[in-house]
Amino acid sequence: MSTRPEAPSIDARSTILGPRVLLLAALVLALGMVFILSLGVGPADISTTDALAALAGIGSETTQIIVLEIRLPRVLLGVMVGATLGLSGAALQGLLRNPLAEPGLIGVSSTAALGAVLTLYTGAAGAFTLALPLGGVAGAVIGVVLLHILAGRDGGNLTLILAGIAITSMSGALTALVLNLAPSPFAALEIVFWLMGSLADRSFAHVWLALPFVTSGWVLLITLGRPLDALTLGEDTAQSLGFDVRYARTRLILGTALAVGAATAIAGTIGFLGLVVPHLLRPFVAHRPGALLIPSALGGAILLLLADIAVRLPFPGNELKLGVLTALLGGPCFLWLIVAYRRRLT
Amino acid sequence: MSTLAAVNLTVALNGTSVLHGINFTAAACEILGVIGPNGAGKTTLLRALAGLIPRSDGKVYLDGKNLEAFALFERGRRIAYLDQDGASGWAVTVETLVGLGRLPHLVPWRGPTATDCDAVAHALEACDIAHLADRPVNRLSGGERARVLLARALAVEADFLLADEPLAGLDPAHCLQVIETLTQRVDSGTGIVMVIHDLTLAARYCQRLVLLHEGRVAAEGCPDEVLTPENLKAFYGIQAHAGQADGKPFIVPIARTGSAPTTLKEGTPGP
Repeated sequence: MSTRPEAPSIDARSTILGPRVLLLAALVLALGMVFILSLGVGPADISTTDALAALAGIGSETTQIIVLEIRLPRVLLGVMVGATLGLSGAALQGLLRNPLAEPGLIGVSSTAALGAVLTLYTGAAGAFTLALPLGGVAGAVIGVVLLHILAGRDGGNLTLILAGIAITSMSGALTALVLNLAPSPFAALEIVFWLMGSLADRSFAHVWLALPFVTSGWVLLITLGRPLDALTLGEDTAQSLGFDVRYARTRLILGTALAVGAATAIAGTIGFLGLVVPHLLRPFVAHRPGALLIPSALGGAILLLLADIAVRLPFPGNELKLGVLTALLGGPCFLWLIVAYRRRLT
Repeated sequence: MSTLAAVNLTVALNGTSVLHGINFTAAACEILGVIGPNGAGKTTLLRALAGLIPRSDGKVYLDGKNLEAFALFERGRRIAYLDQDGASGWAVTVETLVGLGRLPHLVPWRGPTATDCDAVAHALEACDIAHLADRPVNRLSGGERARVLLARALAVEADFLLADEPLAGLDPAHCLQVIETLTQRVDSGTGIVMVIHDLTLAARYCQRLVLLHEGRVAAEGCPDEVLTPENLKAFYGIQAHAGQADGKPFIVPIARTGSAPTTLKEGTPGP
């Protein structure tokens, strides 16, 4: 009796730790490769090796300027936005115990988009560069405050989802109103294009602006691993295991709002990534919600960089927008997920 | 010896008062059965004892110390709670799920220690599910799942286990097996407070019973004192046949007396 329990426990630890480290190593490696690959893509003909050399300060001045001031910030923003969407998607799914949850669900993406759209409409965006992202962050903050008024403190998960839907539809209506009132078709088109989501023409100013919001959001989310694991068995059990579920929920909403708000403010609305990435990676972490957080952040960054490489490839007609591409790929994934989920329930 | 005491415990949920001034003490080394008709407040009582819902009045004391004075993880290590309809949100393996019971013991940013792994292995063994350790929890039968959830609660190795209907949905053999597991835990010093509907098992395995009726303690004491024909009639509205088989007590409901709890008659034609 006393010897039998020993054997499986040792096995268990070696098998749990092994694949996790392996997965993280593989994801970091893949991210590094995609990062480098992404530096070599663009209208100017600069190869990946030349781009790497430029990073190290070698090569012609033009090449260095293109790589360091145009491509590098774009890639860095891609990593920030992608990791944010993957991470907050995984965290929200863990909180709501629902694989169909998504950062856009709590309404913060929409209020951030509305804030940014308002700066485009009023012309503030044309007046100074950072007006657009600042408007987005302000929108995100307002969204979080609204969410807290509607679903804060004692609000359960259902209240949270309903509040998110209400905020999303309200800000969607206001965004439509702004489009409706746009002074010229050109202004309306500018807004529509921005809403589609893109990383084109971003600079280091955008990186520095988003960085504090995004990183503080990440810190709030990544430290939620154990509360999310405990929530596997529902809120009562998590609470009985010593976790303050309300505090965890508040931290999660705040972290998502900070990171997703800033990401939306920089890149526009990019859908489905936060939904699909955690789902793809879940089997590799044995379905544990806490262990899913960091892999989802890495996976989100990888997928977004890949998508951003794809939209920069030569394409007939207009350049494809990043948000359009993710929606085109994500929509069918979402449908398939619902079908698979329904089958599992019945 | 550890004690868990409710003193004048009063709870209101959504403005409706559910428990009114409950007083009792549960001790280590005993199974205290909480019985009573549906809606009597049994689950609410357990949740209040576990500190999961706010009280409008009264206190809960663990070893004579106010429950609120305990740090959350300390409380999590001392009192385990087994939810009535605990379902896993994710398809984790049985072993991972049972391992969740060790969360209050873990040091931040450190993995489980050998003690944690042993506790999990023992809990798996005790609930007869060691052979299912690597099975995803969504591929279990109802009875298997109930035992996995119980194992999760046992893995906490708390001083007190508050179990809300741990026998629901188990076949007779596993019913006996689970309650014998609980009895073993009690023998090694754990105190168990358990909501139970099966009066025979309550009479046989619980050292003491608390009978709740409309949020009040209607009767308290050893099973003989609580499960009297008068109490069954007054609070359950049933007539029961009580007897002994092989020296072990049994209680079989025979008929509704129709007096106390009014319920819809079966077979009443609909509108």
